[in-house]
Amino acid sequence: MGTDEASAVADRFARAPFFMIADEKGAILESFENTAGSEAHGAASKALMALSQKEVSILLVPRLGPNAIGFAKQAGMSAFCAEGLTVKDALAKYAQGSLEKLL
Amino acid sequence: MKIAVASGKGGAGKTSIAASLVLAKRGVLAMDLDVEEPNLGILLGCSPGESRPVHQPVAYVEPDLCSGCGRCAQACAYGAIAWFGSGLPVVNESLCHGCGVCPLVCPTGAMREREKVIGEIRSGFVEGAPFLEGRLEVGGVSTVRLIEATIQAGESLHADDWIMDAPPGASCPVSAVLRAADAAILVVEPTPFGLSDVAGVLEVVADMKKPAGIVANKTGMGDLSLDDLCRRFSVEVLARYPFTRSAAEAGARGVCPYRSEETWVWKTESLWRAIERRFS
Amino acid sequence: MSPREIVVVSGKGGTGKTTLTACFAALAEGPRIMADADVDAPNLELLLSPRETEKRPFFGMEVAHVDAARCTGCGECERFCRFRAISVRDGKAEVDSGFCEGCGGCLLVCPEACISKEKFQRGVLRRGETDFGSMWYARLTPGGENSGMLVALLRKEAKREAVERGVSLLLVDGPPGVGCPVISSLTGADFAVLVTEPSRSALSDLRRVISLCTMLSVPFGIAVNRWDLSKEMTSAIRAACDEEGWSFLGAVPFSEKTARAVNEGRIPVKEIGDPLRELWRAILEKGREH
Repeated sequence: MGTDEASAVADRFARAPFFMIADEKGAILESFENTAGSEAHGAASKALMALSQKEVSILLVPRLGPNAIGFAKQAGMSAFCAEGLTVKDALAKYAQGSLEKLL
Repeated sequence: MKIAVASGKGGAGKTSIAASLVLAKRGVLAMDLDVEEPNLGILLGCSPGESRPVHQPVAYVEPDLCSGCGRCAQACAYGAIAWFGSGLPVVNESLCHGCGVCPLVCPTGAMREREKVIGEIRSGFVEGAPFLEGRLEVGGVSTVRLIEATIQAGESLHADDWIMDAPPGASCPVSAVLRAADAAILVVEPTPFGLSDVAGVLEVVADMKKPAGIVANKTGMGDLSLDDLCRRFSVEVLARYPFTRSAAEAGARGVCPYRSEETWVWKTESLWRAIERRFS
Repeated sequence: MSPREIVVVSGKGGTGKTTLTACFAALAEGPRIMADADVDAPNLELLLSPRETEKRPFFGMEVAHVDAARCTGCGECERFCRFRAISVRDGKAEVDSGFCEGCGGCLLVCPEACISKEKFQRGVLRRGETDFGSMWYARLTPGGENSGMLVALLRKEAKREAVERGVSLLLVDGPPGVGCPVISSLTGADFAVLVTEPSRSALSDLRRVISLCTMLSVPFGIAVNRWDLSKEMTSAIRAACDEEGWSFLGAVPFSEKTARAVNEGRIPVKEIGDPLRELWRAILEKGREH
């Protein structure tokens, strides 16, 4: 919901206000605004294309809507459930392997 | 004459009034255009026997022809196509509006369209007169397309008079029905909700310059005056149907009040006369 | 923390969604935010009387716009358009903004390149304060498109405020039907309350909205309004719930007192009484399970 580690993970994927990208060690690389968030339909594909361009292959999300799942699968991405966590906790739990796999 | 029966507010009694108008006159084509939740057939006691599917185009990729340019994904206004730099573009059919743009921009002809079922048109008979029902497949977003396909199906039946049961609301599905109608009957519950919601439809009716009349329904429960509304939109009240528990209970059982209440019979006949006087 | 979001839908219109949503707003404890997602025919404001604090224009998909001076009336746009939103009248192409879906096709086929896409106001989004919490509501310009988009924006803003202010409950009054705006109200919701009435039409419509909830993976429960108008149909609905494994939340009786209160702009919590409280309790319990 914000752009630092302490921010809460948003409640939706495609309409999240920001995306944060981290490397495998959990270090934050960048964060950027999700401009696809206020689109009618089709927020999912635009968000995923933007992330794919930044070479993201793993998503830590609260849940993936039906549109996002289809596209993410085709893009070869995997996703894990980070519902209700802060960005920092989500990255830590992912490293521990304790997040539920969604895709 | 093609008459649309609309209301703005759901539950005002559109379908009951529409069904009554159908039953009161011989040979009227009954058309259920509330394609998301069609239930005119229930009140007419007609279970339409025939069905044919309705389609809309959706895009797909012919893999061998794709050159990986990504123009399709870029051109899609609905985010229905995603392209991740390698492999094939991915089309999400439930987001595809069938607009035809991606085949247009595709340089190799890889982007094509196929027909996807969006719903069906069911047909049957009510006392010898034709009945058509548009029924949207749940999960679909092509309400307007299905409404227009059902209207088109009606054209080929050559009936003199149509009663078109419209959906609730005042947005594009209702516009699509009004666009095809010669006149509109607005069913209004004289309550704050009813008056507020019908104003939206009356605005559309006025924009389209269609003749319209009001039918007040469920009157007698502490009614608001319809005078201001009528003045504002230059329409008249053509009939008033009172709320009665017996009519409500008949409706609940799926019986059109025209079939169970004498008042509904003569009021509907008088409504037809008013319609013929005002709109012909 | 995102709020718990309860969306009230029905399939059939007129079953009492708005009245019951207003009642839930009144009965709920703790901070809550309301949203009226029936942007086609918004009525929640008639019962909650929001004091407006914010108002913004809503722009949906951009709409095609023809530069009439350069238009030669060739009709390529009309031939291409799949939505019958552009046609040539008196030698010039005219766009029907109510039907234009913003695909941009006409721009591409116009040999004179005289069509562009423009921002087009499709409605208004508002925020107001009510006795029970803030409320987000909107109205789509009659005859128009993009109701789904406006609903999505409305929910987004209501949730944003809920998160910012630590409000844990979001109550959404949904639209009738099963189309675009309903899908947009339901996706990602925590729980859907399906308000039905004891009639054959309503039961038929209910099955379709249940089908939609299932497709969208939204847990739901059923509430019967005006149940005593047909004890027979109410039993049929309860039997269907048992058979199909649908959750039955409760039933509320019909009364002229209730109808009168609503018509006078009063939330009928007192008039409906205990059955309403029991229904709300059941919703909270069921919602908690998920």
